[in-house]
Amino acid sequence: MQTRSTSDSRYATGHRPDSLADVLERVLDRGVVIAGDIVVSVVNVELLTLKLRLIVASVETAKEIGLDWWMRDPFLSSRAHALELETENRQLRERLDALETRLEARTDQPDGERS
Amino acid sequence: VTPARGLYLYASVPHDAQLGGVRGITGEPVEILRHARLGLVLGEVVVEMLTGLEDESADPGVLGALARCHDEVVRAAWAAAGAVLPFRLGTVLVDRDAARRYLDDRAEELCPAMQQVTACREWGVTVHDRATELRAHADPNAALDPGRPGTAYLARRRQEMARAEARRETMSCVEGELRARATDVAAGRHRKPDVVLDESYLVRRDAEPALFETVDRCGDLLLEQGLHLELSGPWPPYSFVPRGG
Repeated sequence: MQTRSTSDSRYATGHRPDSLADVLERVLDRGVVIAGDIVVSVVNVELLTLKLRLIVASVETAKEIGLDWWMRDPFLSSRAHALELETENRQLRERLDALETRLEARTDQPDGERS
Repeated sequence: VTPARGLYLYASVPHDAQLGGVRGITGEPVEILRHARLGLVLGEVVVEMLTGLEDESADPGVLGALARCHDEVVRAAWAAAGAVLPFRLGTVLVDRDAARRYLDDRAEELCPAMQQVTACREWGVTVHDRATELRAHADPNAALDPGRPGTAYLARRRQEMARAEARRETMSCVEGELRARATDVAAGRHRKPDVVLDESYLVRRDAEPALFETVDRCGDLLLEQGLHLELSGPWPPYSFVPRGG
């Protein structure tokens, strides 16, 4: 099934990259909702929908004033940010391990200086 | 400390659907969990990656990218399975047992809904009011008789009312024609005040040529009255899923 073809209508907006507002509206405002204790409530959909309104407004404003650069490839940058955090996290853990090892070595020696 | 993990849901698909090589919102491999005559397209994610999206300080670009990625996976599943019922962005289940329990509980309403959307695609139609712009150009007769401003005003008012009436008639005619092409109709949110129509149509693929023909004809009609029609799609059937958790 081909799902990407645009229509043959002269009034089609097609699937332009700037139809982000349409995508947001559909994935945030439609779709099956699950409630109850089987879901992890990570995203507050009501707040997100509220934010969606602001975004839809700002997407249009941003486009008008040409400030839509963040729409182009922000996920890559956010992933890069996550990777950066992961690396930092690992480095911190390594340093912590090293410190703990040194501390243990010290407590094992009863004549070591301790305050 | 291992970070909390959960199962991020993209869509339900028919039981026999196959999907390969698709990556999800956090780059995780996307799989299908099969149970109770249905499949759930999902990926294991670190829950933390999704928190705080709604915060004021959160980068709207991240949400935008997430939305696009969610849509991409839903579309990939759609292309592979032939039919999908998409989940709303941010739906995370606690574990596989929860996923199976969900299908046990909901298969009865998901299966007929899946049946309904099979062989159909969703199309969005919005109509914007551009009449005010048009009027600015097309109303020089407002100053026809400077000596009788009252008469000119009344004439203008009459003209405006006649125009509004004509537009109402055209709009209801257009609405009827578009709906006649659809298996089902869902109302949109009219997100801006100049939007006079915002609907989604579930249309059988074999009825699409007729839809496009109708859209073109109606679009021309509306344009004459300063109303601008836009067709978006094809969309996975986001607007035609069972309601209620």
